[in-house]
Amino acid sequence: MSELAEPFSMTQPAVSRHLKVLERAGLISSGSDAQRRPRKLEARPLAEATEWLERYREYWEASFVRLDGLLSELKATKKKRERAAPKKR
Amino acid sequence: MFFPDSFKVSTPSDREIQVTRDFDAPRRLVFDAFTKPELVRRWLLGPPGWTMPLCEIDLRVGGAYRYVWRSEKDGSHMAMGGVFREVIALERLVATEKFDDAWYPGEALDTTVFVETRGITRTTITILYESQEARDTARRSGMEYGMAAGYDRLETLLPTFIGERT
Repeated sequence: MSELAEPFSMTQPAVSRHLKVLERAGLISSGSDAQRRPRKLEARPLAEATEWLERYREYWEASFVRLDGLLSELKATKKKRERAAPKKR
Repeated sequence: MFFPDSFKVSTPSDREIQVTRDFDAPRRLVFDAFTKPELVRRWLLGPPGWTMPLCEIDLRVGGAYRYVWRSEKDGSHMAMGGVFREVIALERLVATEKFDDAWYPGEALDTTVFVETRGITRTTITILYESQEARDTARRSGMEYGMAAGYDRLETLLPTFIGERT
């Protein structure tokens, strides 16, 4: 843990708390040998989490591209109508 | 002009998903596109290969809305609806959201905000779920419905989109 804490200006208990949260979330796991408990990054749940967000993104992206098309059509119709029937002064 | 780069999806909290996008149109038109059934049906189509045979919107506080999508491939249906909690014309909509065959617990609360700056309308949709688990389950399974083909549709749309831009 002291190795993990090294790059951060954080107390060891604080680092330990962060590690506990990550471990509870299944994002890291800890091994053990006599001297140290090396932590391992569990990348799969993280990849899954970003994957569903990415899918969600694609879904909305496609819908919004269609909405862009619809809006430019509505703008054009509006302009045409205004030209056909100019406002009376 | 279109602003595809303005598109952002984020998770502001454990229970929320937020989608933001700018549209090159005044707020009145964007608001219409979100609230008039004949317009909603033209863009909120769900996964590729799906249509929206039913779209009903009773735009007032306490009024209900209902969307039904149909897969043209196998005829299966997907439906959701809810009730409006807040309706501020052109500005803000708050409504509950629940799918018929909900695969996640409880209902979600959708807040949609429209802000116009010099003819461009920034639209922000925030979906608040009952729990983080509900949010993640809803999106994971819901999106798997037809998202595999998501890129296909994007590719068919892109040439039109690039053509219009020039």
